[in-house]
Order: sequence, then structure tokens, then C-alpha cells
Amino acid sequence: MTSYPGTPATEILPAVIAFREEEGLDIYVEWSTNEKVAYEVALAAAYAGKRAAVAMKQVGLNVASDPFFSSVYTGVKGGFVVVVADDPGPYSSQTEQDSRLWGILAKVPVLDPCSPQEAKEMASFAFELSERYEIPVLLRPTLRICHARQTVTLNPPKVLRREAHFVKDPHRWASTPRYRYQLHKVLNRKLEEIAEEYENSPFNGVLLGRKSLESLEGSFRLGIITAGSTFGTIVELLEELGLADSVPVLKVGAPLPFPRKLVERFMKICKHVLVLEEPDAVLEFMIRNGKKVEGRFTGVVPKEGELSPEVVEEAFRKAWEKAKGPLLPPIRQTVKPPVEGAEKPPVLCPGCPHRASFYAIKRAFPNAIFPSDIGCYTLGVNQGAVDIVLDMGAAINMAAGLYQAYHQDKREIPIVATIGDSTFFHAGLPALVNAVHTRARFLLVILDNSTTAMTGMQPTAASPILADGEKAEPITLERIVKACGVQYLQVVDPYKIPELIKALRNAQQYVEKNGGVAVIVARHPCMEITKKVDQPRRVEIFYHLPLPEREVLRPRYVTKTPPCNGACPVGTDVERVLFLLAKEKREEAASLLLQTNPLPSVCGRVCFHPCENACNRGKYDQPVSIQAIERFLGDTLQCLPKRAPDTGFRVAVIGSGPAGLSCAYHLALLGHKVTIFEAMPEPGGLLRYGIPPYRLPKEVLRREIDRILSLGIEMRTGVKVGRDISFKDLHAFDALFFATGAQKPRSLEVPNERLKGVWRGIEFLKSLNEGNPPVIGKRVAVIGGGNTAIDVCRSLIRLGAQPLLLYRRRKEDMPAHPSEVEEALAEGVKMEFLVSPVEILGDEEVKGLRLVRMYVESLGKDDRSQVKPVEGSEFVLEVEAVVVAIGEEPDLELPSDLRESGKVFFGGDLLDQPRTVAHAIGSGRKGALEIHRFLTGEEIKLSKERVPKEVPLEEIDITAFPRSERTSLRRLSSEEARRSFEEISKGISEEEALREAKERCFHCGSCTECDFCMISCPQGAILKEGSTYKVNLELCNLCRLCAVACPRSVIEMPIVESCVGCRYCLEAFGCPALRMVDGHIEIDRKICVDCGLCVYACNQGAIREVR
Amino acid sequence: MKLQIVIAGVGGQGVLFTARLLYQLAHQRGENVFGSETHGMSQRGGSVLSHVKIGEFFSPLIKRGRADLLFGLQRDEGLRNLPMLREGGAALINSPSLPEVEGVRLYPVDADEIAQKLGNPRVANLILIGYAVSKGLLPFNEQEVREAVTMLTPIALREINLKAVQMGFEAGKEA
Repeated sequence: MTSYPGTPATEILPAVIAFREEEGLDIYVEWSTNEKVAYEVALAAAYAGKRAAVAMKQVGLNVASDPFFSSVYTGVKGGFVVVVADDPGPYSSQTEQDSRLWGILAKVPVLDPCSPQEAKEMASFAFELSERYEIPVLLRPTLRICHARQTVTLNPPKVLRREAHFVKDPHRWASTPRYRYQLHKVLNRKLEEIAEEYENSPFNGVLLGRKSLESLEGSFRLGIITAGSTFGTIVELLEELGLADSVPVLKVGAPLPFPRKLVERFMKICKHVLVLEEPDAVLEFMIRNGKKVEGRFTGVVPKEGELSPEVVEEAFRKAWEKAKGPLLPPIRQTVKPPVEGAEKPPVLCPGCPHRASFYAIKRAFPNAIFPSDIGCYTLGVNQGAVDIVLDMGAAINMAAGLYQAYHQDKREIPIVATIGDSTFFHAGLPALVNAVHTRARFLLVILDNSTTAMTGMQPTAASPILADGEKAEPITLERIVKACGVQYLQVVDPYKIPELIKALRNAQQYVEKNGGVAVIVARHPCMEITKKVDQPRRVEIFYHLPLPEREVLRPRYVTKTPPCNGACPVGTDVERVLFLLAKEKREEAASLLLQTNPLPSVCGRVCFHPCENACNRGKYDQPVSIQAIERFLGDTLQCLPKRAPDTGFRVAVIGSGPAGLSCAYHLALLGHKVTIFEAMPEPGGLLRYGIPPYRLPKEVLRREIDRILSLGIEMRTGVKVGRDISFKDLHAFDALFFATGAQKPRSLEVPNERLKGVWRGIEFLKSLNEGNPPVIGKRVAVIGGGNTAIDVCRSLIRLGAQPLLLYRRRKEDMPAHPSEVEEALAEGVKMEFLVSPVEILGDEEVKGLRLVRMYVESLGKDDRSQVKPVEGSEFVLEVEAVVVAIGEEPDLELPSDLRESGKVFFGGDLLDQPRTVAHAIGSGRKGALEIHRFLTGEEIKLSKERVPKEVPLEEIDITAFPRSERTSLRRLSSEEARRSFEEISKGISEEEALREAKERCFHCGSCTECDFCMISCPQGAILKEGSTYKVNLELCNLCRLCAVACPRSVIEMPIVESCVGCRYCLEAFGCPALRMVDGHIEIDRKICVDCGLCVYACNQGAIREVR
Repeated sequence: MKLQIVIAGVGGQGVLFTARLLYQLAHQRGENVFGSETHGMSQRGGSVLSHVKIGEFFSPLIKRGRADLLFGLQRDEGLRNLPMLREGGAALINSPSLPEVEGVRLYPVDADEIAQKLGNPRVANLILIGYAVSKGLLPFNEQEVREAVTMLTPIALREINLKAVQMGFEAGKEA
């Protein structure tokens, strides 16, 4: 006997197995992968002459209908009984179809038992009938017969010792369509003979009172034609009403082929006839008599639903009235129930892994379409995560079909199909192969609790044991899925909800990038099998009154400060620039950048990018290429902000380095008339005279400065204050900004520092950048550890010299930027550490250097080493030149009247701040705003609508972002670089810049209109208005899901850590152990199994694990 | 004997076992039985109703207003199914208190509390059976019940099941 589990037929095979064990019989039993498989396996045995049976629920025969039809034509050798259980109601099925109708369509004899006892007798008869006519026989019990208990008389089993013997007869077993015509003829003749037999079948007969009416004589006002369990119901009703002796009942237990003569004889003795059968009108249909027959066709019997005793009584009373029967006693009044209760619907068991899976799926994809399937997990509909349930295996096909339907419109929507492991083996395989082959794109989650749970924990093809406990060959689910061509497969334990959410997102990101069907196997055993959780976690629900005001608790959209913004010394709104660029609003992005930074092409090359160092993405994979983007914007777009109208004020800026240029730029934007005084012949300060062209080409700087000056700024080069104009002349201006930098080199304070061949680093670079590369010799010692020293060394390499950098501390203590140090080393610069000069040697020119070795005595604050000379370790180096680059000091001396005038401001390296280009530019901007306030009284805020709160990585939901490689920045190799002063770094293309902005930036703390809050809100309380979101406070129940769902921490909602009665846990999670009592949730400890999963179902922190 | 009993509860409470116990008791007396159960999807924590008929019956279903006895293993399910009882029928419902209902005799039994004392919430059904026997609502005696329980229970659960039934007997005598 073979079978596939299905209510109400599931218990048949186990009963056969139990019986087999009890009686020591030899019966082959099998849980097959589906009903078609079960049918054919059993049928083959019948072909080979053995008695065989297959059992299934009514829709199972829909699956097995193909072999079923064909087998009725071929017939069988050994008796073959097909048990199909119907489900009037339905209580546990997708249809209320009446399986007796197969008798008409498939032309097979049907038997319809009215009780378990009769079912037993019919089974025996069915085999016998089957063998006499060599035809399959359909035995059709219903739910009330299958799931009934009755005292039954058993007979000793009939043991048949037959050997398998398949007799070849291709005309029959392999008959082609032409020969099927012959088989059909044979079949029709069989049915005629069986019909004759059925006229006198013991299963068809008339009951009057307690006796059977042998001779059909007399005249009765009303007769009943019935079958199945309805027979018992009507008999009991007639007894109750005292009509048992006046209303005859014809039971048609062998309905097809239809015993027409018997039925017509019965109908002759009745003035009226009521047909009571379920689930459909089969007998009524066969009778085809409209005149005296009442039933479903005449509206006396309901067309759908079970014929419960109450429904039968109502139908009978209607028919009795139509038959003009005498008044009956009224229907008994029943007790009124004191509770208005509805029937409790089924829910997933507490601790069920499917609940966790659906919760994770809904959290990850709130607006996906969810085709699902038949099993316990169908109850995921309670969590809003099941949209379609059609029949076994439909989930995958539905997903594929939905994909194709939307794809035709060039739309892609998220689709997450769910299917159980048993259902997958049943019908999922061909579906998956088809989906992969036709290149459909969706997510499939196989809910693997390693059993067929809903029907009572039957084994699946993956089980190590068979139906009777014998050893099986387990099929590995993952291997089969891969064999269907699936490229992306992950196995996750659904109890680990955050992990599952992440896996789902990763899978979706994979599908969006590569296509195909991504499969996640959510594997965790069924609670009905394990009975308790592996690692119990006791959980409490915290609830305290009073709750804060709604106005305090409500969600708010707050634009926060991302770490890149927080780190930028210039004060650029980095994130907003990237946001605009991501929307391909290039000009707006460039314009925003230029609002704070007049030197983007410069910074895009020489800044040490604290923004990238702080970038949250950097802690995930690699930082966003912010610097390269800045360079791209600066290099390719003009987009100067609009200049304010003339204020009439005149401001002098002394020094045209980055601070001075920045101050002049911002002052000019604010409408002031600016004159820059620059001592050197060309503007730029250290940008020109300090930084060599391989880092910052002169043409780039010239372009940047021209752009700044285009605002109408007067640039007077070659004018040194104190030499070419006096400090007194400066009084003519309304305000002054000094940004003369730190130009006075520090002294080594060793003997012979003034020898020929000893250079100051700053002088060396000035000469080089003026176009007069110093003639300096080959072996050059460069003393120092900062960027100046490094620039000197790298320039010397390019000039053909052999520089040796000498630093008094360790490599890691060098103030120079580490990347600069590494590049220098790669270009061939030699370095020695922990050495300090003692004396420069030589007469008129430098001949050598005496040095002493240093050792680290201690580590001071910030791990900076304190070094001391090693006694007696002096040594001499032969060098042709020495460049001293140990730092510079400011050397500005202002006359007191200017200093105390109140209209003097300072910036750049004159201030006590880090000496970087970005800080200088930032100070220039700050200075301009201070001067503006000084002149006009107007206060201009540095930053706009952001709150100062910075967003750390922990507040970013990184699972929402796929991994994405940082653009590799093109540059010359060190080999190529050292050969000339050509710019080393080459910048990125527009395409690359857009990709960085669109795909890689998290947009920390800034809304990007991703809509995720809106689609996540279970109440639909968030709506979009233009480019912002509005919360409908009347719909908002404070569940806080939006705050948690926003991947970039834009929504602020205080965590209450107390139940707010939002019911989110009930609706999204739905564990029966959670219930609402007096406005807050409580745990029913009688039901709770301590799975601890509900902690994930509260966004207000009210559900917490307790030790 | 002719007795029609309805057992109401939610899936997982042991409604099926309670029915089986009654069948076993009837079988021990040589009586015929016929009744109906709920399996499958409908069971997952959902409403479950079993019909048990002892005596000569044709149908496994009890018509509304015909049951002699109602066991409510869960309060709401028990109260909701009161219409199954005939006039003068009796209902034992797992609850510390019950409202007054005309026409039927209601017996509140805090079986959950007693089951809690025994350390296993699932034996509430046996406590109700024991109570019913003591109150004379079931035509069986204590010894028969113990025999039936022993017959149907695996060894590991026998002790606690018999204890539960005993507690039911005593609770019925006290009340």
C-alpha cells in the first residue's frame, strides 16, 4: 500500500502498518513523494498480479488523475483499490469536490461507506470486485468516516500468497491510442455488468424504521435518498422526530455505475423525494428528475458546506413542508452561550520555526509578493507573509509567473516564495527546474522542519527512515536544489532571526545583480517532534505606567551629521554632495561643494581626507572615494554660487595661501570688496611654493585660483606688507585677514648650520616650484619627518639625487602622512630612523654630517616616543648637501595699533590648529563669516538643518547594503612616478564617481527617500509628500518599527522599554502565548515554550530575556 | 446505555485522548461506540470538538441540543459549545468560575490549578473526567477509570495520569 499524507486520509497507511505488525503480515508500505508516484508504484504491483491499494485525500487524486484515468482503461490483474477521502466543509482542504464524480469521468466503479464498519466491508468487497472485472475500484470515505471511532467487528485477515508475475501483453499494458479504443469498448461492457450487480448490492438498500424494506411497495409522502455519513444523520433525525416508520430511506452505497432501476423503483413509491448527500449532488444529478426531487438543485439543501445534523434537519423540514407533511414539533431551542465567541482559527504552535521565518521575511521585504504553499506554514497568512495558496507546489510556479508578468512591463518587484520541505519534494522539483531554466528572478525560502508536519509528522524523502521504520536512502535537500541549477543557496537556522534577515537581503542583492532564483533553506526541527526548545530562553514583558506623552514618543525625521561631515575641517556637507551626485544632479552637487570649499581640485588631490578615514562604509568594506569625487567635481564643473549684492565694505586679505584664498572667496560671495596682498610673484602660498607638481600640478592650481578671482577679487602679487606697502596703509580697509602662514624655518641649532650646501626645506621647495630646481648634488641628507621633508626627498629623487631622510624618532612617529611616507619609500627614498644631527661638517661647503643614534626612553601621550641619544654612538655620513626640514614658525609682527583695532582677524598656519590645507581652508571660511558679522552684524550659521548628533556605524543597518568594491584609483606606478614631476594620481571617471555616490555611500543620518519606512509601517501611517515623509499620528500606534527599519538612522523615536499596546508582536509575530490583557501584552506561561524569539518582535524593548 | 458526550477545547489540550478514554470505558463495559474527531490543519491551536456516543447510534455526530454531557477543556471553548447540550444536560468546564446559564447544570472545575500543582498542565482533561465520575455524571466507577487510563497511557506517563484522575475524584467529592 502506498500513500501521501493528506487530511482526512493520512491515518490509513499507519493503521495498515500497525495492523501488519499486530498480525505479522507481509505488506509492502510506502510514503511516496506525491500521489501520482504513490498511485503508479502501487498500480505496478497490481499489474504484476498482487493486491495493492493507494490512499490519498480528494485533491491528491487530482495529482494522480493522469495514471488513474489511464489505468481504468488498461485495467489491473491483482485487485487494486483507490481510497480517496473527501472533506465536506471543507475542514482541511482547498476544495469540497466530490470524488464519486470520478466514477462518471474516469468510468470506474465507486463505493461510498456510511460508517467505519461499512468501509471495512466495502474494502474487502472492492478487492474482490476489482479482481473479478480486472478494474480499479474507487472507495470514497469522507472526513466523518475517516476521523470517526466506532465499535467494529474484525475478521481474521485473509492471507494471500501470491508471487509477482507480470504477464506481457503490450496491447493492454502499452497500448497505443488506436488500441485504447478497444480497451474502451471492454471497459464499457464491464461497467454495464457492474451496474447490474449494483442493482442488488448489499450496500444499496432501503431502511424503514429499523427494518430493511425488501419489497418496494406502498406509498409514502416523502422518501430520502442518501449516502455516506449523512445516512446515519437522517436516520437519527427521523427517529427523533418519530417519523422513522413513515419515511423510507434509500442508502446508495454503491452509486456508480448508477443502479438506475433500483432508484426508480424507490422513487415510484414516494410522492416526494429528498436527496441528502455530500459534498456534491451526484445521486441527484444522476436521477435527473426535476419534478418530485428536492435537493441541492432545488435549493432545499445548501450547495456548499458540510451537512451537519443541524443543516440536515433544516433541509428535511423544508422538504417535509413542501411534501405537505403534518406539523412537526418545533426545532429544539438550545441553550444560549454566555460568550460571544468565534471559533478559534488555527495558528502556528508556540516555538514554531516557521513563525520566525515569516517574521524575518516580512521585515526584510515588507512589500514583496508572497506566493506560498500547502502545509503548516500556510498559517503564515496570519503574519501577512502569505499571499497565494493554490495547491501543492504552486508557490514556485506562481513566483515564476508573477516575475514574468511584471518583467514584461520592464518592472521588477520583490517576490519571496515559501514552500515546505515535504511539499518541495512533492511538486517543487519540476517547478524549480522550470523557474531556473526560464531565468525567472525571485527568492525561494524552503521551510525545512524535516518532516510533513501538518498531517502528523510523516517522514519525507530526506528522512533516514521509511514509513514502517525501515532504513531509507535519505535525499539531501541542498544537493537536489543545486542540481536544479540554482547558483545561490544558503542554509540558515530561522531561530537566528537577524541572521535570516541578513541572509534574505544578501540573497535579494545577489538576484538583483546576477539574476536567477536564490534559495534559502530555513532549517529547524518541528516543535511537535522536539516537544521543547533546545536552549530555552525565558522572556518577560516589561510594562510600567505612566507612559510618556504621545507627543514625546512619536516618530520624527531628523537629519543628523554623518561622520564624513563631522570630520571635514572645511565644513563641507559631504553627504549632501554625494546625495545630489547620486541623483545625477552634477551641477547642484558641484555648486553645493563650492559653497564651502573654493579649492575642490586642490583638496581632491592633497587633502589627507579625514572624511574617508571617518567614513562608516570604511568599517564595512572600504570607504567611499570622497576625495576622488571632490576632485572630479572640481575638475569638471564650474558652478560657482551666486554672489550677494555689494555691501560696500572693503576687506584686505594678506597672504594668498589656502586660508587667504578661502577667506577672500567667501567674503566676495557675501558681497564684500576684497583685495589680496601676496608677497610672492605668484598666488597660492604653500599650494604653489610648497607642494610639488607631482602632487598638485601648477595648471590645476592656476585654474582654481582663476575661478576664485572671477568673483571680482583684486589680487596684488609681489606686494609684501611692511616692504612694499605699510601696515598704516592697511587701516584704509574695513577689516583685515592675515594668513601669512608659518614661513620661518626652525633651526637645527647645530654648528655650521649656515654652510653653503645647507638648505631650508621650505627654501628648497620654493626654488623648485618657482621653476629653478636647486643644484644640489647627489648625496643629500634631509633632516625631518614631516610632509615638507618627504616632499623634498621625493623631489630630489626626480632631480636625480640620492636623498637620505634622517628622522630622530621612529617611523611611526613621523608627522608626515603615512601614505606619503610609503610612496616615498616606493620611489626609492632611503630613510634612517632614530638618528639626530649633532654637527654639520665642512669648511665652506657641506662635506658631511655627524649624527648620534637615539633610543626610545618612554612613550608619551598619544604614544609619541620620547627619545634620548645613545652615549658614544656618534657616526659620520658623507653628504654633499643637507636640507633641514624640521618645521616652520609664523613670523608675523603686527604694530600694536593694528593689533588692538579690533578689525584684524587671523587664519591658516598662524592659528594653533593642525597644519593642513583643509584646516586652512576651513579657517578662511570661518574668518570670512566672523568678518562679515563684524562688518554687518549678520550671523551666518556654518551648517544648516542637521543636528550635531553624529551617526556611528552601529546605527547603520549594514544588511541593507550589498558589498561593493571601492573604485580603484588610477595612479602612476612608483617606477614611472619617480622619473618626472608628472602628476601621479589620475582621478576617477564620471561613471565611477556616480557609482560611488549611488551604490556605496550609506548616507548616514540623511533621508534618501528610499521609502523603506513607508513600506514597513504596518499601519500605513507614513505617507510621502513631495520629497519628505509625513506620519499620520492618528494611525501611528508607536510600534517603532520605522525607527528600526530606517537603514540610516534618520527616524528618531525614544525607546520606551515598556509595552505601549501597539499589538505589533501580535500581528507580525502572532505567537499564541502572547495575549493582550488590559491594554498591554502578557505571556501565557501555560502555552509559552521559552523559545525566546519574541524578543525580536518588539521594537520598544518591552520584551526582554531574563536570567 | 445511551450517552452523548461532547468534548471541546483547543488543539493540543488532549481532546482526542479524553475521547479515547471514554471509548475505552464504554468498550470495557461491552458497549458500542460511535464518535467523531478533529485532525490536521484545524488542530493547530484552533478550536477542536469531539463527539462521543455510547450506545446504538447510526451517526458519529451529535446534533445541537442533544448532548448529555459537555467537557470544556478550555473555558471559552466550553462556554461557546453550551448549545450542544440538551435541556438538563451537564457541563464540566475548566475554569475557577462560570456564569449562570438557564437550563443546564454547570460545574466549574479549576483543573488548570490542580494540574499546575501536579506540575503538568496537560492533565487537566483527566482531572475533569475524575470529577465527573465523582459527581455521578459518568456511569463509570473509579476502578474502571483507573483501568482505562492504565490501558491507554504509556508507562512513562502512567503515574502522573493516575494521580490526575485521583485529584479529579477528590475534587468532585469535596465540591
